[in-house]
Amino acid sequence: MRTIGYICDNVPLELIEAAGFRAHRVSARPVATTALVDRHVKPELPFRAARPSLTESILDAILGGRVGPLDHLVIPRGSDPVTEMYVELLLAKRRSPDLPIPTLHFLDRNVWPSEEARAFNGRAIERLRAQLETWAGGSIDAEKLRETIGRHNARRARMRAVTDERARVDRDVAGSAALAAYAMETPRLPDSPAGARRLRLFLGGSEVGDASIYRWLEDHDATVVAEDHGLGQRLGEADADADEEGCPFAAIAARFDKMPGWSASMPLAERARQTVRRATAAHADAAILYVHRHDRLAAWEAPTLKDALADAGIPTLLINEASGDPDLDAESGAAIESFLRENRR
Amino acid sequence: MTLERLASVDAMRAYQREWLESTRAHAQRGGPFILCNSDEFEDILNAFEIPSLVINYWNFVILRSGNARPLQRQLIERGYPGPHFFSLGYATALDPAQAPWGGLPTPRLLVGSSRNDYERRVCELWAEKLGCPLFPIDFNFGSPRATPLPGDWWRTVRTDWRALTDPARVEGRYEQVRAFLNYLERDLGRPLPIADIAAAMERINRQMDIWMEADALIAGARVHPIAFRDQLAMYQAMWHRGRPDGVRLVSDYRDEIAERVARGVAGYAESGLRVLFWSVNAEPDFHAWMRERFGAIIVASPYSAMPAMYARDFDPADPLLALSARHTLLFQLTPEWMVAEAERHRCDLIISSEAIGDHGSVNERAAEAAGIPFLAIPQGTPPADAEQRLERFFSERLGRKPG
Repeated sequence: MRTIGYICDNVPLELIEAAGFRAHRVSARPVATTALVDRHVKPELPFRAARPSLTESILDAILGGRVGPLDHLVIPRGSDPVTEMYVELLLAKRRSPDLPIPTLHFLDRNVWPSEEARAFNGRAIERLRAQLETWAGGSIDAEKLRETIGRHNARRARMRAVTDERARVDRDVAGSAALAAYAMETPRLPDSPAGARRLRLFLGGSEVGDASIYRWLEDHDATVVAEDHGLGQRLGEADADADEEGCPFAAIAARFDKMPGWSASMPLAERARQTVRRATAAHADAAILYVHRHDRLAAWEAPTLKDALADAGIPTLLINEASGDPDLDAESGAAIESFLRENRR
Repeated sequence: MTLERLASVDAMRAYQREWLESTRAHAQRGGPFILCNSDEFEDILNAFEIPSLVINYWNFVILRSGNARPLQRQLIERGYPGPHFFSLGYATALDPAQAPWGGLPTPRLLVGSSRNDYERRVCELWAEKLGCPLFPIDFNFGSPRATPLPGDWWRTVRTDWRALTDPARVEGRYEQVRAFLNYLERDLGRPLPIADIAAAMERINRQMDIWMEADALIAGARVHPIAFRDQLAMYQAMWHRGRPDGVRLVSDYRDEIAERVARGVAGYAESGLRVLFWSVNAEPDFHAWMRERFGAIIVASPYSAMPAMYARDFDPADPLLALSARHTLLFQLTPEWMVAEAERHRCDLIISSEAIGDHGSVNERAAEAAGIPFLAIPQGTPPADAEQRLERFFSERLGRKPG
């Protein structure tokens, strides 16, 4: 079966699978050195702004073919660094044709909710459908799409069960185990001990590339019970209604319109409401907003989210300009340790 | 040495000061006033003489007021890391005492920005603080692109913009602009006829053609007739594009340039090497040093050809389509355009404010291939370091001795 890679968490997998492809999420462990980006992308874009280490690492992994064998790659309009990968990969390919970059499709999106945005986003899904049909060499069957929608809705329901389990105060679910569960075809948590009481945390801020910070917190007698990033509980939210306007394609378009990439909900007030809802539903004792260096979107959201969490009675630590590397930098580590101590009291 | 300003540039500056004062007075009397991000909607606001202030212009006013530092501190204390240029205006809403004139009057609404994630969030926070609605219109030319541009895009952007723009984004932008126009008509309680927008776009094209005549005179002059500072100051006429006053101001500028060229009047005491400064930033601190030490003068920058980028051929029955397309593609700093500008202005070298990498940028390759020496001095380089780089470049690469 041919494979289509995708970045971010709002590409409609139902459509990709209904077209007969395997969908593979492209991610990477953040690394400090991205030699291929330095060699093939930066020289093409001399005024390119500095990027967070996660997106830079994903781009480097794609340039190096370290994301598995992909026949095609769908890049959605997400945060700016994600969106810019599309043109950056095209420029890199033009400069160095031998790079193992698959054929690309850009899934555009109007990010600000409105009637016009809904129409635009619907047309973007139509273009994705046309592209998938071209790649597949045949049209996507509506019944097949209903079937994949049903399968993904069922998977999302299982993810929500994981989220609910994490929210129980009489359970001690490791956040890292929850992240692993969300990534499973059939999401399921290992048995968790009852009654243990670690500090329950909500994690927000920048996107994460793996569970490193979760494990670091678990080593410090805390656990993440809810979060706001694209590898976490968000994956289980918002089903597609296969009967939307009586058409499964309309269902995909409607869900895509509602689902921003990388949690970047508009307007900001909505993002704040979602943050508080997730943190309070999970009975978080405290929250950490961990913002990576050069992540300007997260940086300009975090103070509002911090205020909203404070209004909900949840003490919050905001860390700006963190390195974003899997090994927590010393300054961030010290600040978090102090915050955990304070809130255990 | 103090440089004498061109009379037409001084007139532009005086006009802008008066315009700001009268706009402020109008808003304080309760008249509608709109805060608008640049290249989002101001052509239409100008067409109907709806007073508006362009966000980045306001940010420059704040910067010049000397109060940027306390405002930046205020943002950092609230948890917003820098750089802060675009957010200076928002900071004045948090602390009006630090703002020029005690801050802006409350706008009727804020339009923009969709250039990037950061600007969008800043505008949201700002609108909330001001208590006015926000209308971000998506797909600004600064938004991450959906398609790469061909190298020679600037040659045909006026006439063949359809081939250079993403049709889906133009359609999406067009729908948003129409919807916002309808909203404005209801909000202001007055019709905003399409024919008036077409007339304004006609004036924009005329204004930009006249402006480019001035630039052609500058580029072709035997003696360089104008200081770079004045070229940049004249850019304020852009905030009045499509208004009859905008046309008049650049006509006076063009006529004065023509007169100076005819008389052989120089913009600088120094003459020698001609420099293209490839940057959209302000005049660099090293310019005066470079002039005095090596007689090297900045004769052009991307702003020199920018007026041409605002002109568009359009259908008078539906000018919003071409305007929406222009919103999605105004310009991009491509190496081909850079070399073409350097050649048009007969430059001896190019200085770009880009980052320095290990692999030679596309700009460097293009310049060297065209036989034009190239130097990168990243934005924010401390003056002493910039001067050191220049010293080495002038002596080793150009074989020049300080004169």
